[in-house]
Amino acid sequence: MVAHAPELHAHDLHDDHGGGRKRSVWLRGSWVRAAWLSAALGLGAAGLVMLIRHLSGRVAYSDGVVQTFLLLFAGIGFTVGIGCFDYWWGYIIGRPTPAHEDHSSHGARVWKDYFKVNTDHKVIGVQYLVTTFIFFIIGGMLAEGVRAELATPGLQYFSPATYNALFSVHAALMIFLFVIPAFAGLGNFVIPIMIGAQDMAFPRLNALSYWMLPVAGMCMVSSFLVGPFDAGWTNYATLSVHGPPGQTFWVMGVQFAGFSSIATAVNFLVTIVTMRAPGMGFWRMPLLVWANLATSTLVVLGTPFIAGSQFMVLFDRIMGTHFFDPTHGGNVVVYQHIFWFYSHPAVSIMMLPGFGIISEVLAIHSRKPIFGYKLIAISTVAIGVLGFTVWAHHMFTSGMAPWLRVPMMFTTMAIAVPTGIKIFSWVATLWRGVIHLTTPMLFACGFLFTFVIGGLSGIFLAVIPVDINLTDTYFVVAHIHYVLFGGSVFTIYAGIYHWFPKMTGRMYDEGLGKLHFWLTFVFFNATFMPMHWLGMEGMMRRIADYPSKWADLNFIISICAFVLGASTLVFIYNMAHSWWKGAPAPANPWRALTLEWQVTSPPPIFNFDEPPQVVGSPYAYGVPGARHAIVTVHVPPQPEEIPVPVALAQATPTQREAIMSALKHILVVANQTVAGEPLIAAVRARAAADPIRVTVICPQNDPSDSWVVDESAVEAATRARLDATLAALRGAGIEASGHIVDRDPFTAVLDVVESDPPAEIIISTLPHTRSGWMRRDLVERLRDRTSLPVEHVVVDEPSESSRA
Amino acid sequence: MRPVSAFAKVGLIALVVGAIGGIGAWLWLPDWLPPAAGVEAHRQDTLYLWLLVTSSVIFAVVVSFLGYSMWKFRARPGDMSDGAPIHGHTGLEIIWTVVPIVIVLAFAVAATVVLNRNESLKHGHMVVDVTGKQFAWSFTYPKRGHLHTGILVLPKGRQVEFRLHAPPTDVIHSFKIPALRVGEDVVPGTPTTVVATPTRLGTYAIVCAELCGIGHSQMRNILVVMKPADFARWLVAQKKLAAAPPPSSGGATDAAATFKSAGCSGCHTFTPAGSNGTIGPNLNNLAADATKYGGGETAAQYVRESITDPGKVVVTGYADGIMPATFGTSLTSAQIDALSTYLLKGGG
Repeated sequence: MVAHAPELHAHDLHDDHGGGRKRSVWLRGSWVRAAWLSAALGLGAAGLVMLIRHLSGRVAYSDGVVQTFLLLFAGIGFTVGIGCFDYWWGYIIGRPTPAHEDHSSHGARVWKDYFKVNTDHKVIGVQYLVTTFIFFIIGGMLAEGVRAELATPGLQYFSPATYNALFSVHAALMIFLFVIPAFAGLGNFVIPIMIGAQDMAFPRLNALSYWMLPVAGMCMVSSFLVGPFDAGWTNYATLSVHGPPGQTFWVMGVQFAGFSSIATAVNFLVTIVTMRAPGMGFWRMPLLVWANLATSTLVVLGTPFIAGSQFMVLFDRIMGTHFFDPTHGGNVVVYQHIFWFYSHPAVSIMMLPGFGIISEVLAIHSRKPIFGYKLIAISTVAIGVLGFTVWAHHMFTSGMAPWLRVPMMFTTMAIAVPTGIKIFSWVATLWRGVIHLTTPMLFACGFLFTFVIGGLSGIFLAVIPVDINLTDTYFVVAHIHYVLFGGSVFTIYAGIYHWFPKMTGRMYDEGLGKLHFWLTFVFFNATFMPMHWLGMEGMMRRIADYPSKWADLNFIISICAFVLGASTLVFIYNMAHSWWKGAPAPANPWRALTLEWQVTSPPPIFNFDEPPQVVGSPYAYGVPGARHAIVTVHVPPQPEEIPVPVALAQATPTQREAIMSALKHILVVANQTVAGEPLIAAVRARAAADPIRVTVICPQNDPSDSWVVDESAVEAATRARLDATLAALRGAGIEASGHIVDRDPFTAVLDVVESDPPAEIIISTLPHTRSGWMRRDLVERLRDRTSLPVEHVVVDEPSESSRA
Repeated sequence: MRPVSAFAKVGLIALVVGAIGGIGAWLWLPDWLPPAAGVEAHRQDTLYLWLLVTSSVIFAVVVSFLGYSMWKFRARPGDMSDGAPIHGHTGLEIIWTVVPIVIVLAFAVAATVVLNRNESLKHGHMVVDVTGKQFAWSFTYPKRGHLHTGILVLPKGRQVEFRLHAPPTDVIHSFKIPALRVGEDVVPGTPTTVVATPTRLGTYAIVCAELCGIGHSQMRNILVVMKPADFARWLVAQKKLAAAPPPSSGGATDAAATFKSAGCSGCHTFTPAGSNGTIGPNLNNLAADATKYGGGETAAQYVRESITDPGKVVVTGYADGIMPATFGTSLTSAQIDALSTYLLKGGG
């Protein structure tokens, strides 16, 4: 989590601007300045408005107007105060350029750096993810409130107004403060490294995009202080126009979130189009990059529409415009057209990056090239383009022009085709792979299961006569949750587990990860599957109370929803604990080809020492000799280190003892394969992580598969292999000793464990079919008996004359 | 095992599972949907059925291959090998592009046909005007002397065109009858229509499907489908009731009708009127409450004020701004007086 930068730069980079004089915490970019500037600008603007109103003979205080200015300026004040604009401001007023141009706020060295404005895309990515998960938890608790109220018929815990607010704020937070920015966060961390860039194209804009997010979230959450918005996240006029004061908070929240979204999307577009490493043509981009390219285009084109629609609502509320007021020539249905022109593409915005993540995870964890790379990439773009032609399928019963329904049904149906192509291609990717069912892979496979259901229920809703019946029922609630939870949230989980080692430099706990997956998968389906039936039976969505004939099913759903919510705690604990104390992650734990896995975990401050050279497909798993990219790493000059064997040779007996006890003891058990390359590589990999010493034992079983055994010849051959191995290890600077033991390997290992306990055991054998040890379950028996980590290395090239 | 035969085997399993799922869908669908009570509903249910069968097969195919792969091709501990370097298969990719195109086109065409049939108006259809407002439905039969009713009654076997209205100052509602599988938004300022042909006798729920505010879940009503002869008798009885001169004192019958048609019953509990809403205060002990909250006013004054200016006194535990402030203009003074008397007398 820390030390992205070489330590020798750390104190230089912390100098503040100019002459190195550190300004007071009140004046430099900080939380203190953010607090007072936010309060001052917000209250100042509100006060000014009230003064003007008073002077012009109106009632000074009016909810809508005053709160609008308060929120707008408090939000801007926060971003200014925290320091998002410092560089630009200095540039505008002609302040001398800081000595360390660009790098003064780049990269995180201590945990506190994550709470400051930072221009490093990796820090921003982590900031995004942590922030969005905070809002995910808040939004989730609101959903649990909804389920508590619906657990039994009648009104128990909330008034109808509060109930309506619960699901409205729930959806608003989940969409605008969780799914969309969580993908922006993952993309922020991963995309620049994936394409071989040092950072995003506009790092300062990137920081500003992030810091808009907490402002947007605070607007939405704090609407509970004034009477929360309760017209649903769709916020249809005229209900929203007549709604409580919290409406203003929603509108301003959408504006901040929308600005953040657009700025990030522009940043991604420019980064992806202009900053790819040499050799990375469009057809060599990883599919996550394709997905982000398509998503960002949608965001840039679509988001202004929701911003506009919400401003129109706000103007109707506070400025006396009549956009949606039929008594003054306004039109109510127009709102929905503008709103859905963004909000349908928003479904793609919330889904396409997930598709990209799934493509990465499935290929890497099944050790196979992605099936039909080009068709998947093309279908991503197709979904994006078609996404702009289907908005009115949300409005089949809205009273819009009736002729528009059938064309919109055909375009909607058309989207099923590229979506189907993706699903079939993903399943085909698994076929004949070597599937490692790690937590990210489980989430990816779980996603395939749930997303097929979400996709198929979408076809029901596209068929107009069926939609006329199902729209606004719980069938729709089930459908959107299968798409946005079973789809987006599952892919976010898959992505976070997959890149967690890269982001934090530590491994997550696989057992807890799997527990989290199974709890989420089972209780997600148990919660949302029955909602399909409720909807078909005629239970409307967004109702605080319902006829008692649905009591049983609703009660079961609520219980499952509570368990689903609790399963998140397992995830949070796993993430927090693993980040703090997890096992150190290697650079490439998944043996992936894409560029982000070719740098250290966590990556160095500017990702690459030299721009990497992309030479092939990112998914050529199983292709002998295939490479995606050539990465050059500059090894910094190291202080002269004395190899351990040399040091031991020079040491006094007491020094020798001290050196030996500081080394991690590895026990290697091998016979015929003792000189095999994979074994020596496995030992070297450990030596690279920790200082180690190695004991090699070669148990000589009775080689019973020959008719005539010349024991002395066998022993001589073994001795020669053992000596060669020890020499190779010592040559690599590893302290190694070894001997031939004349007994069963199991008891031989137990002897060593007793006399000189190792930290780890490596057993090397021939492949299963030809290994006598494996036939006797040596590895399992040792694991059971010793409780030590036992690694099994398979050597498939019997070293010379093994059958002598 | 040779991969080709495995592929065929899983494909076969998938089709069998899909077929079982499809047959299951066929058998259970009637339980999942309310009984179809109209011509349109039957047409839609045919679409449902085929959607369910097709979805079951597609789902089974995907999940069979997914599950088989996860089991069969899972990595054994320590297996560091790679999978088969298969980059694609043009034939397969063409198949899974073309087959879905055919399927969705078939559904889109079928849906268009059903939609056109469901919405084509026959000669001699009946017209009912539906008004939705926060939080009540009311109905007018324009060709039956503008008979105004608090519930919807229709004859069996007759096509009906519902013309939907909401007052321009109101919000969007959605008029929905699940048993008839029809629904359409009721949009302030924009009249909309929806067509249905009830064919099954019985009483069915009418609900509001579009979030319309705090009384959304209470905005319910009923549809009664009668034999045509019964419907004719019901119409005569209703007309008689409507034509009868209102009792000079503002009789209880009239006031009870006002209580329903103005939407009071959507929010207030008042046992004599059979309402049990919980959005607004309970009116069963209004005379006592009027003394408690009236602050010196007479009970009648207090009740009248509470109807015309509901924000003036807000009963503890209830929010301001929820009850419409428009009853002073939408109801006549006589109606308000009658209502006030009716409520204070506990329905007497």
